[in-house]
Amino acid sequence: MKKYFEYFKIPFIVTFVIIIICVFVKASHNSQESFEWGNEDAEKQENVWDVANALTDSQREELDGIITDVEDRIGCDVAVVIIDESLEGLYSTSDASRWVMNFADDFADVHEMGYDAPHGDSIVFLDNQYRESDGHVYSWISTSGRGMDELTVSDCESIMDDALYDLDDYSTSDDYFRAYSRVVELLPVYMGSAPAAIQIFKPSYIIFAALFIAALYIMINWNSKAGVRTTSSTTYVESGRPMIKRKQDTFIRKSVTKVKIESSSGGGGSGGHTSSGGFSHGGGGHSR
Amino acid sequence: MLFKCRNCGGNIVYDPVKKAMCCPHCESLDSEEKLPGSSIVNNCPNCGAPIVLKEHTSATKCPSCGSYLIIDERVQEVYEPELIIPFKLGKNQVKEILYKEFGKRPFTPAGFLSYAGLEKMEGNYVPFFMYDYSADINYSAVGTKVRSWTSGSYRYTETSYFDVVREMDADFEKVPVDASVEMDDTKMDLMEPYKYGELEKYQDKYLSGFYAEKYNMPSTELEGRAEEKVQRDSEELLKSTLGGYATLTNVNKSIRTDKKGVKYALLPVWEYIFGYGGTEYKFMVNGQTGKVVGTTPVAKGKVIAYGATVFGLVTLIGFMIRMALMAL
Repeated sequence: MKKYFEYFKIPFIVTFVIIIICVFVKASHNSQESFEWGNEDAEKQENVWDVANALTDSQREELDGIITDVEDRIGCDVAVVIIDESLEGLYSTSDASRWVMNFADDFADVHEMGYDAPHGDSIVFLDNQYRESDGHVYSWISTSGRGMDELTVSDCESIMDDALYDLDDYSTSDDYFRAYSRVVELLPVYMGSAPAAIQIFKPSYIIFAALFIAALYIMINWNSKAGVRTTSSTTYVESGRPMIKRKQDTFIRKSVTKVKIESSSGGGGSGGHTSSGGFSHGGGGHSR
Repeated sequence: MLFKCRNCGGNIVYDPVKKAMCCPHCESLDSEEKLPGSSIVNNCPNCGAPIVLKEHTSATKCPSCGSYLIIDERVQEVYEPELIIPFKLGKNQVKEILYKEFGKRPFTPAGFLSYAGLEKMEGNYVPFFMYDYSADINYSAVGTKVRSWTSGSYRYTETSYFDVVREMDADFEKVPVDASVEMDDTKMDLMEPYKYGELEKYQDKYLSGFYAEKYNMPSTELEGRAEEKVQRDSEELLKSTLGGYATLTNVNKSIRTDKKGVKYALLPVWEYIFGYGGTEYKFMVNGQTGKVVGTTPVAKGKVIAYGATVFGLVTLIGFMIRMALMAL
């Protein structure tokens, strides 16, 4: 045991220092500007609409608290809607990913959501746990107002990729709670100020990197010390280097090709469209 | 032959630490006297007990009286080594090096350090042939370098083609190949490099106190291995001059090697065998530089515990950074 601590002394110290720095950074940035509600009706509305009964009561309550905090940080009315029913045939389009979009847009319209005013700044996260006939489970983040201005389609997709990656048919209410609260927590991250590096530090990437490093560490320390070659190509060469008689790099010709850059499919935009209620929405989808 | 002490008559051995002939009995320095005898058919010149020799043994220890004997016929005339690197590290220094090395290997069972029994500890002079080669490297190829940039809504990729020619000579000196069947070739290769600055003209006295073999086969039989090493190193030398190209399409590549000479030398290797859990663990240590070759047992529990710690720390750091980034 003593040897263990001796061996990991420096890694432990380094980790400790990093933790201190990170905690300090977090603490010093927590006192951010916050917004004021301008729409009392929306403020009083439920934040969590768990029609599918995916969460326990206490989880619903906790998620509600998280949403209330986030709403003031981003200045948007936020709702998490969980349903478990086929949306097939409800809308004119046959594209299943559009069904959740229409549902989420309509939800915002019907509830007159908006942080500043009805049909104002809002974000609806819809998870339809029902596996549609094409074998996929669809989710959508519908944005409008400030939410639409500050979240691009790819932001919405990244948020759901990051948060929902480990959900499947066997997920428990704990899994769902973790995933949904992460979606909500990621909203302020992606809205405006989050550094691009957050994309690299996704939980799945972190775990993968840690596994990789641990495996590498074990491999290196297993039996590699059986011996490694410590001679180089010049060990036995007289005067330590070869005599170069001719070294020639003659330019012959060059060829240039040019390719038109395809603009990426709306990844940078807000994905704006108009809902059946006549309101403008943005957002992005996810399927699993 | 056998080295006797003029003062007390004891068997004098070469002491790597004092770098001198030293009598372990009366501690006299350089008081040696060469006692001839101990040929292949003879008995021990000290006690008269019969000596059983292996086919190539040139220095050994009398099983009866413990005197270190050097077999005359196997270190003379055609078997006389031209060069030798005398042992530089003594028994205790090597033991220290080994324990330090074991301590550095995190997966070594804790018990190995305390309970492993030292079953054998032998200083061996291993016969080596040292080859001189000249290599003539000729190479030509078409190389490409790629540059790309964006202008307006277009991405440009420019590929430049070069005529690449390399001609070089390399003189390889004293490329070592072990001439012992008993010694594992891979392990002997891993003992390299020796510091050739300390090569000396062969003297019988350096063998006293150690085991040794004469070369097991003629130098011509081992040329192939020397040539392989020269080829490998030449390839690497060539490669080191070819940086900066994205692709190289060979037009012509030839590495011609030419043997210039060969010398017979003895190089020092400590052999330590530890017994642990019913298994023998063999370590070779370069008797000049202290480089260790050999595997230690692996404690599975330690692998799991240490691996999990690394995993845990990296994960923790990752999530901490993530948390800080999210707050920014």
